[in-house]
Amino acid sequence: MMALNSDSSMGISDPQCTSKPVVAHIELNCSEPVTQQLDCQLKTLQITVLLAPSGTGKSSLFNAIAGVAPASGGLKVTGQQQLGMPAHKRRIAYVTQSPLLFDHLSIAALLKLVAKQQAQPFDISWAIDPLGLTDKLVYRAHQLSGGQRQRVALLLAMIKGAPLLLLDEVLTGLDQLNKQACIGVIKDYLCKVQGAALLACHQLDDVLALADSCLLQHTINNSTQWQMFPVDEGVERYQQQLLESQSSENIQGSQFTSMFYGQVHAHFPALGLTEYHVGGQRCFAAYNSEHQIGRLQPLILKANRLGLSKIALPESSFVNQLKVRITAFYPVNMGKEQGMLVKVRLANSEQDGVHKPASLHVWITRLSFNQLQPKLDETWYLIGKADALHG
Amino acid sequence: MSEGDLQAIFITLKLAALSTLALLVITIPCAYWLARSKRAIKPFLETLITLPLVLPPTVLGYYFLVLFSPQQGIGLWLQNTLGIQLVFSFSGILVASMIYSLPFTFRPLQSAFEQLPDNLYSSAALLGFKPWKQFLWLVLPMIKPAIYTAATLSFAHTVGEFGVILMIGGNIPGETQVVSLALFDHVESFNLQAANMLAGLMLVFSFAVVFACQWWQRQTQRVSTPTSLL
Repeated sequence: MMALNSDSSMGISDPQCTSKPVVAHIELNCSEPVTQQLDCQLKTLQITVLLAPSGTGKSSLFNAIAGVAPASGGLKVTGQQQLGMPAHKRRIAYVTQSPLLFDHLSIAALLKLVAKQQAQPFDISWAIDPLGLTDKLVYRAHQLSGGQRQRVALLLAMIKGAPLLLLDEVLTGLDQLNKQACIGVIKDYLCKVQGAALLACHQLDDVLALADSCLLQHTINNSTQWQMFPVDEGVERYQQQLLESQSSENIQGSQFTSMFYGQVHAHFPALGLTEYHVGGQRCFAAYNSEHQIGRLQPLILKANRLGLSKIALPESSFVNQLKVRITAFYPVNMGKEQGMLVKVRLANSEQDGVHKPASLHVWITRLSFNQLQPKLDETWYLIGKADALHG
Repeated sequence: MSEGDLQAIFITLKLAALSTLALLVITIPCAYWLARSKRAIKPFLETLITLPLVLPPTVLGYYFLVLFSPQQGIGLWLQNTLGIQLVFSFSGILVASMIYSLPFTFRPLQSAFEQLPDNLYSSAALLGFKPWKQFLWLVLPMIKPAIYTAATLSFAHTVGEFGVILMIGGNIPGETQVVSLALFDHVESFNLQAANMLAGLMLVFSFAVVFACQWWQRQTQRVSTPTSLL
């Protein structure tokens, strides 16, 4: 198991939350429906994502941790053994993939009733407004949209005030604005309860925006073991696993994303842009005043928002033009569209001391690939508008 | 309306109310258990509970008479030890009514419990609800329409009972004579005016019951608007 570089966290920068004691110590085995073994420690404010394709037992593992499915081994939360305790007594808050919201009560009544069940209910009133639920409290769950129900479920789970938060696909189906709100609330909650979170998530750009570490599956003798990696390395390994897996027809070009570190160079608030430098090259993302000039900042690129060009395009609207070297090709479709995932590395990044020179992915259509005929080790330009890059 | 008829109405309402109340207290936990049970005995118990629905009331009354006759067996024991005589008494017709109305109370409740989502109990536990609080605060309110239906059907069915009560109660005015038996008496003695009165009353009551049942069903299907919640 690899050591975690906690300083690489993109997460919380609250100065009060800098110390990192262990929140949960998990040494869990569960056998339904597949044999799984999870052995990890989660520290305060650490957000860890389980990265695995659908149907590989993530929800079953969460159920076992939360106490609604059988498990053996050990599970300590803030030093207290949870295994053997019934689910309602465990110091674990769990938002399931399809939460049940008890339609016979309004959301406000449900919040009150759930608070009544706790010895010391956690005050969640601060989270109602950021989650956009202030005017929804009078409704019943069936009158809300899927995304609103998901946010209500998060609110309900938080009332327990438990330091270990399990989130099963809570960000799926939310629009960008609500996703940001949810991420903010999750981080604030962890800060308030000094807790840690385990998350199941399919969108790799969400993973990179939220998590500090990843758990990846590793199967030995029909038993699945989860291994922990820092988030950028984990996502890269997971993407490589997807590309090398036999079920490549299930992989979508839109799933692929890349992360690299760029130094914040300048802000252009009037243009709505922030400029970053990476290995002597410039790139631009939407203006973000929180990024301090001179700091290394993780940047995320979505593969299907980028393109390739053999030559630089100085007279074009593409503000991001990064010189790269092609390292691999994989046939990956997106919907019915035939395509190719091209793996590249930033040119001269190693010599220029780029922080963690990562592989980047760009997805192009089969038509473009056949016309351009890129070759391995050739130098190309990775092109994209500012919105292809997320700071 | 004669004093005897008023007495019959009072006994009928008392019998129906007590029988409904006792049935709800007994059947709610039993139906909850049976709905969640996966034991091999479940189909056997379900058949036994449904039996009064198809069994002729006289057959039920006959077995009841045999079982609780003060001359022998359980009836004798009840008489000697507890001083209770079930045959030809109000207690007797109460127990018999409960058995006869059992499927009308039990089946809607069992069906409602079975229709509750599978993940209800685990979802409630994850939110910190102890098992008995899950039942009290979540399960019972969620099956409220089924409780209303079960209570209405049980009450109405008891009011309309004839055969079982005649066999066990023996049509004793002021003790076991209910409206249906009083109506029978009036028809036999050609007192058609009194018979019309009681028959009309039963007709209006039955109409009201069916109407109420349908209204409750519509209430549960109606989507409540936010304004109604404010």
